[in-house]
Amino acid sequence: MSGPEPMSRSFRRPLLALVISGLLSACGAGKEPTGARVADYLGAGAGEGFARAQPGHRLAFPQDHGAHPRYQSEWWYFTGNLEGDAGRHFGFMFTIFRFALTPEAALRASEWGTNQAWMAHFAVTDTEGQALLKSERFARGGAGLAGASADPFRVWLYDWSASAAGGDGPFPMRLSAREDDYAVELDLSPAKPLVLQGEQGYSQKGREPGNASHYYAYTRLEARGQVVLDGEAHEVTGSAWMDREWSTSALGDDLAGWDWFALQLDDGRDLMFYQLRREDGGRGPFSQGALVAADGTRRGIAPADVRLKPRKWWRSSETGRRYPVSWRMRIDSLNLDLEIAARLPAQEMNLNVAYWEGAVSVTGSRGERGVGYLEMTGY
Amino acid sequence: MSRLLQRAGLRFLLRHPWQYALSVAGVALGVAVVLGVDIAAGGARKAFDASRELVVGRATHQAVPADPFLADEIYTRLRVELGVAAAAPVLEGRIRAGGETFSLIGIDSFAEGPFRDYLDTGADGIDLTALLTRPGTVAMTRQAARARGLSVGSRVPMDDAAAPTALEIGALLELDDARSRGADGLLFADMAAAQELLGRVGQLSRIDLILDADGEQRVKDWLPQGLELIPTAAQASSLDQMTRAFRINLLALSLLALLVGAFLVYSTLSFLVVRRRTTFGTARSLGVAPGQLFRNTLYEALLVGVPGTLVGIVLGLVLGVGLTSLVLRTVDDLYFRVQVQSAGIPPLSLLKALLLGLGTSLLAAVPPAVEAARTAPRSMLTRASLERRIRRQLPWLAAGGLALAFLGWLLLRAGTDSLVLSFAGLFAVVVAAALCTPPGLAALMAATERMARDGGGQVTRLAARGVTASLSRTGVAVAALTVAISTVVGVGLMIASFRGSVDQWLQQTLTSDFYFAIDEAFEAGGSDVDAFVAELAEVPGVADVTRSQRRRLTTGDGQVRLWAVDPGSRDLTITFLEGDRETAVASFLDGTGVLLSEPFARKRGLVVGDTLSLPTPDGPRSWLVTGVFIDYSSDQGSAMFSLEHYRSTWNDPGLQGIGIMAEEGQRDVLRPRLESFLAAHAGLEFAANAEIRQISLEIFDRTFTITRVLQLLVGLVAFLGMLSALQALQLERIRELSVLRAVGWTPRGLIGLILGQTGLMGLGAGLLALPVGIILAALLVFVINARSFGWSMDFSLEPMILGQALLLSVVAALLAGAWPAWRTIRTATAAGLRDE
Repeated sequence: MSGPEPMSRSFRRPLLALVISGLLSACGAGKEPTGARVADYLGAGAGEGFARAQPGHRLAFPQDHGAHPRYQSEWWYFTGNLEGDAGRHFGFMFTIFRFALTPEAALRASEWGTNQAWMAHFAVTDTEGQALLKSERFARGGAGLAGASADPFRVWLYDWSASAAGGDGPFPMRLSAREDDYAVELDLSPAKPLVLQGEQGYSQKGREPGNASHYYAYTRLEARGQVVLDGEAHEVTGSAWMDREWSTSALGDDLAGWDWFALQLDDGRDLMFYQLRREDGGRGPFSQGALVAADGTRRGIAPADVRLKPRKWWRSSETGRRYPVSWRMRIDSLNLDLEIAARLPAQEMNLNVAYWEGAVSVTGSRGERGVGYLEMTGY
Repeated sequence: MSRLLQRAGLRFLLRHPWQYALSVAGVALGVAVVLGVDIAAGGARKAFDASRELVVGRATHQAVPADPFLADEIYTRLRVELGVAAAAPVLEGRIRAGGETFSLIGIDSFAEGPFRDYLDTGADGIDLTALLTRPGTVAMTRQAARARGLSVGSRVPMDDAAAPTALEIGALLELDDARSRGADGLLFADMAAAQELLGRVGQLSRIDLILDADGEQRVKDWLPQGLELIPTAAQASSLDQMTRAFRINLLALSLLALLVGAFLVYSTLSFLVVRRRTTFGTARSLGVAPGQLFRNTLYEALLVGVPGTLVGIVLGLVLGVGLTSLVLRTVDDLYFRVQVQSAGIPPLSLLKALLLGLGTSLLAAVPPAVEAARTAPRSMLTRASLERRIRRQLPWLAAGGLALAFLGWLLLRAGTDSLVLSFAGLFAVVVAAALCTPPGLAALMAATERMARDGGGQVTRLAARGVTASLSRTGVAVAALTVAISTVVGVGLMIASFRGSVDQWLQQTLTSDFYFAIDEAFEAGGSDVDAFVAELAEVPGVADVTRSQRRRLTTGDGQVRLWAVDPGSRDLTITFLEGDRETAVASFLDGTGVLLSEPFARKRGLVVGDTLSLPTPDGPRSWLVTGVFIDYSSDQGSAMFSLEHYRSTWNDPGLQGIGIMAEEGQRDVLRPRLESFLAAHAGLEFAANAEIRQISLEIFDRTFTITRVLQLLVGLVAFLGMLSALQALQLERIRELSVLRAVGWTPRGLIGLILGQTGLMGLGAGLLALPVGIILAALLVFVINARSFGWSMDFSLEPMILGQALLLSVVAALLAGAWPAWRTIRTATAAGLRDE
């Protein structure tokens, strides 16, 4: 989802670094790799030898639901807005990342031998309780501890997993993650077909060819299941979003971060838009957007058509960073003028790397309503 | 007025610099020994903690197999199916590389975070990618690498034939000193590399866990048979127990040194008070209150105590370095692998030494201070009346001593489970002996006098009477000497008994002519133990082959050492303490019974007829205890099974030892034949029985080096005490000796008198020390050692040690008397008479 695109350098590299530093530190939060350390880890020419996304490459399923270990990074990204009894709102985010440490895996006698590192982030937003519960885990891609298979579909890191629940293909999918004090157990089934983002699943990230990712999504999944908070189970229903991306790519040096929107309107339209922010605050090239109509047809949005303006800021007491937690988005070509507001300002994912990822509500000037997820990095 | 008194006190000390220096030295030595031992024990503790941290980390539990290894898929299922979040796999083994044996620890760095910090040493220099992705890559501490001239990228040739031919140093760990000490012989590797290097693909040694009560129950219910969940607290306490006895023994010896030091302070201050009776009397008549005199004496105690303590602290720091390496070497020999290096100085130890030095000085000054405060105005006690009073007190001292001895006996009886109580009892006995020394000496001298009267030895009579007459001055010194000599006797006899028993045990146990020791590298190198044994049996000149395996089993009650033995065609060579030999051996052979080593039986309170339950791959099983045997190989003790029974129960085909009996007269020709096997297999060591016996006794002697050093220091303090007391005495007697000189005694005669007197003192102290020493030895052998380590031993009353101690006592006293005698003769002239 969000992460996919911009993650390339300012996010993904730190991620690789933090996977490694995460091995070192206790799984505690608050530690953040510095740029210098990232560079130390990766050195020059990090992407050398890895597979690269190619234009014109046709994605094939079910194989592409599984892992692509020759690419440097990959993720299975799930977010969603859920409602419990009496309309109690919950947000969830569950992502499994894969990173290749080297282009080629050495031949090993031990099943623990691997060149693949895995990481997962899992968060639940309890809007009524004004709380964000979050955690992260790391594992090697060996000894059956973490991995992904295409058919039957299963991506897992220890006991956190998303897996096919008996159907033909990945759906219905069972998503299951449990922490000490919170858990999510959801059945997901698509309300719309799979969408290839970018050009037929090829999403350009930088100027040079190959500086791109393969990217597909399910922009609307029906979700049904349980959210458990402090031992109390809440039956929930709602809608979720799944993003899949793999790449060996890098962002331009002048980029500071990104703002990524995944919005689901009540009228059945889904809107994805991300803007890459330059250090100087301007919008970088290769920002992208797409609208998926109620019938599942996709149409690209020219970034120039999208006007975004932060309306309200929130300062994290943990990291001291300021995030815009309320936005106005105007897309004249679609006749949309939306107010996008965080369900809870304090949805900063302050883990080994800090970013903001949270549930939002959407209100349009023409009475549109909706839900969504917003990811912001580089603040 | 009080300032005047204070200055008088200081001047008095400065006018008797030798006296002053000796008492300062006494305090200093006492403090130094306590501090040195404290630092050493702290060093041992630190090394121990560091080892423990490396082993256990923050794990609350460990899942350990009854087999040597568990399948690694159990870990995967534990995490993926059961969803236990804080779990880390560990694989341990030994590999030989670069001519050295290392402990290799395989870990999953992704899971280590919550458990151990040693990987968290900053990003610099740690290339985890290499460790994870390159086979044969290991990490070691920077200190260990430096010591071996290695750096990142170095390749160390492996001495075995297993997979890669060289280890690559992939990363250096930055650990603080204490932790790196614990990690010197350790290599860390990613689990994949570790499995490959150790030839243990698919296997783990254990799983570390952090669990709360619910989690514990959940994991317990889930764990497959053959795996046991053990709280680490139990293990930590058993590790702690392991060295506790050792540390308490050290502490006791150091306190003994301080006790003797306290005697010294007491004797010096008593001397000061006695010498200044006149001054105090005058002061009293001038209106100085008794309280002021009391305080003044305490102040003088500080004049001795403060410099003594400070010098002692400096000496103690130096001593600490030496003792630390002794202690660590012992810990290394007996308990677990640590690198011998000096530890830091714990501030708490300094404070303890400071308080102990000053406190002891002040406490020792209380009786003399009371004495000073009691001084009547002007009407001074004469020396004679003082001595009379002392002599009147003698029966009370004796009674006090007997009471204390009784208290000591009560403490020793009560302290069956408490080492501290046992030592308190021992101390009470020592102090009781000290109290009984003056009356005992008086009695001895009275006897000597009678004998001399009958025999007509005038000098002897004079000397004997002199000793009795000067008890106020010499009583304490003689008591200190008695304590020191009795310690020498007690510790000496104990060590001799112990050594004799160990030697005898070694001779009885090491009945094979040659031994092979086998480590993991043997199997990792592709060799098969059973095939090797069969091969050995075929070697011409081999009469018989015995086999043994040792293995630590982790249970809920701590570790149990299993000892599996196949005695070949011979009888078991163990000596039974309990149980009927025939029944025991029969049950050993058919696997119905277990034989326990003495420390094991004692520590667990097991006797013949009890049952011992142990985890096996098929769940817990119980055996009947049918025999308890003598074994000094470990103070943790072991449980012995027949090899056959052990193998079928624990599925462990390994061997650690092979013994070979040569055919009659074939010993010498057999040796080279057997040694030729060393080249063919990795992980083999070879030794003849005499060599093993020698090495064992060397380790034994090394263990007691520190005891002997401390014993020596106690003796030194006592010697200083004697010197100080005798000097004080001779100073007092200048007038008397001058009279003797004036009435025609020759200098030589006077020297004879003085030396006779000090010699008698030494002899008296020595004679009194002998029975006390024997009692101490008996207590050490039968009470302290048995309670500390669980070993019983044959008590041997070595006449040599007794004779030496007596000689030592006399020589020490004579030496201590020589210098004062010489000085006295020089001053004992008419000038001496003019003194007053």
